[in-house]
Amino acid sequence: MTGSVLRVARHDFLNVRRSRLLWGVVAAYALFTVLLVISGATSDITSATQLLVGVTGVTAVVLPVVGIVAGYLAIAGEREDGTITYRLGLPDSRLAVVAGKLLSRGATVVLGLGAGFAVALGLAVAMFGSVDTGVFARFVAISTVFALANAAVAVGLSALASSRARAMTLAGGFYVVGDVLWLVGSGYVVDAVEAVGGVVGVTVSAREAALVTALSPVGAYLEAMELAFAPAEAARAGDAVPWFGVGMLLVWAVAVPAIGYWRFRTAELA
Amino acid sequence: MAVIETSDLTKRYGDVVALDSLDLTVREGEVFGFLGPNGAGKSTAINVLLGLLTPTSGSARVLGHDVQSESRAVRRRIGILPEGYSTYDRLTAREHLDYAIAAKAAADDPDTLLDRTGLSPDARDRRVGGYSKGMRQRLALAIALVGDPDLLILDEPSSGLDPSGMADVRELVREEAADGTTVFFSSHLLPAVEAVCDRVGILRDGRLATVDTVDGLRETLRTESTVTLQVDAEPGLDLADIPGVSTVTKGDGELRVTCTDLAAKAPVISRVAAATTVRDVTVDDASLDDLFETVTAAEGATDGRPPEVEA
Repeated sequence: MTGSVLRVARHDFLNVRRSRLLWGVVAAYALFTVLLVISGATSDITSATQLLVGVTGVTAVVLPVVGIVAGYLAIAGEREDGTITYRLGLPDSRLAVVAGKLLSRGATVVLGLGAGFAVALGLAVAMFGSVDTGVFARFVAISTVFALANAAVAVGLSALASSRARAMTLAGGFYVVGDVLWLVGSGYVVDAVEAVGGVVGVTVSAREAALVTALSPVGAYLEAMELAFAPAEAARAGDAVPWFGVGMLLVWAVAVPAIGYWRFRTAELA
Repeated sequence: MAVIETSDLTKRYGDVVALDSLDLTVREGEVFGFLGPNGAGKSTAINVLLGLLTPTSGSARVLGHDVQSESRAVRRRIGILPEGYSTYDRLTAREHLDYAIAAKAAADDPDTLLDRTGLSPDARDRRVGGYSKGMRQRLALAIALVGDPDLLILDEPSSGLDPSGMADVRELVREEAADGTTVFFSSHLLPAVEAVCDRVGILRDGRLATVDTVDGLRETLRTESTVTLQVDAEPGLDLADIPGVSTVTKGDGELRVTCTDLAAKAPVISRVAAATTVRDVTVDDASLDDLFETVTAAEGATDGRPPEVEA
C-alpha cells in the first residue's frame, strides 16, 4: 500500500512538475508577496512582524486559491481525459490513487509557497533590517497548513466529481462559501447562533462565538494565527481558540478527502 | 479453465439496458473476438471486467478472481487497452512504461516492449503530447504487454492505426497467443477478427447473439454462395434438383445460381458446362462481413452494417 501510494505520488508529481500549473502558482504567489512587502514598507509599518499581521487578511483570501488550484483537477481531470484508465488498469487501489494525489498536490503547494515565502523573507530582511524568525516561522507553518487543508479539500472534491466542469463548480463553490462569504459574513452566522441561543435561553460567550467563526477553514486560519503572533498563553486574547482553529483545519483536510474517496471507491469510471 | 466467465451479467443505465444477461466463457489460450456494431455493449462488458464499471446484476470472474471484490488480483495478471484509454501528454513513453512496470512489479525492459509494438527509438524519450494517434496506440499496446500478462483485453486495438499498423496488431496477437496468452479483443471491423480468432462472439443490443468458430458460424448460418456463369446460350436446364441450390435467375447471357450448401457449386458448374459454352465463372462466397450483418440484423434491425469509424 505505502509503495503504491508513493509511486502514484511520484508519478503524479512528475506530471504536475511539467505543467504550467505549479510554475504559475509559484510565480503568482512570489509576485504577490513582493507586492505585499513593498506596499507594507511604503506605509508606516516599521517591522516585519507588523507587516505579517497586516497581510494575514490578504493571505486568508489568496492561500486557498493556491491550494484549490493545485488540487481541484487531481482526479476529475484524469476521469475527464481518460488517463484514469491507464492508472487504474494497473494493479493500484483507488485508495492508493487518492492518497498519492493528496501527497503530490500537497508537495506542489509546499514547494510553491516555500518559494514565495523565501522571496518574502529576503525582501523583508532587506527592508526592515531584521525579521523575528519565530514569528515568521510560525506564520509560514500555519499558512502552509491552511493552504494544504484547502488543497486536500480540493482533491477530495475532485474525487467526488465525475468531470472537470463539476470539479470546477465544487471547488469554486467551496472557495466562495467557505472563504470569501465566510470572511464577510461569519458575523451574521454568530448573530444567528446568538438569536437561537436567546430563544432557548442560552447566552453565547465570546469564546463560543469564536468557535463558531473558526468552523470554516478561513475562520480557523485566522484563529490559529494567534499562535504565530502571540505564542504565550497569557498574551493571547481571552476568547481566542487558536488550537481549535488548527484542529478544524485538520478536520477539513481529512473529512473532505474521506468523503471523496468513499464516493470514488465505487464510482463508475467509464 | 475459463479465463473469463460472466454469469447473467447485466448493466443498466436507468431504462437503457447496456448489457443484458451476458453469459460468456473464454477458455485458456484462445483468441476470442468480441464483435458487434457500435453501441452493442462491447465496451461496457470490457469495462466491467476491468473493474471500471459496477454491474447492475450478475457476476464476472477473470482468471478465477471476482472482478468486483478482487479487482487488484485481476489487474495484476492482465494487460489492457480499454476504450477511451489515454496516456499523459507531458510524460514520455519510457516514463509511462517505467511506472507500469513498477506497478506490476515486473522486470520488463521498456525498449524490448516498444520494439515489439514498433514505436521508433527516437520517439521513446519524447513527450507523448507530440505523438500521432498511431504512436499512442503503439505505446498503449506496449503498456498492455508489461508483466507478461496471462490475459490481454483489447478494446478496438486497431482504431487509429493504418493498415500496416493493423497488420502489426494482428501479428502481436498471434505472437501472444502462440506464447500461451489468452487474448480477448473487441472490434467492429471484421477482417482482423476473421484472420486471428479461434472463436467469435457477436454482441447485439447487449445480448450475445452467437458464439462460434469462424467456420462454425458459416456452417450454422448456412450462408449463401453465388455462382455467376457467363454463357453463350441460355440452356433450358433445371438446376433446382441439385441439393443445396436455392434460386436460379437467368438473363443477358448470365446465369446466377445461389447455393445454400457450398458443396453444390461444383455440380452446378459442371452441369451448365455440359449443356453450353461457359465463357466465365465467378464465385462469391459469403464473407464474415455478410455473416456479421446476418447475425446482427436478425430480429428486424434496420441497419446491421457497422459504421466505418468507431466513436
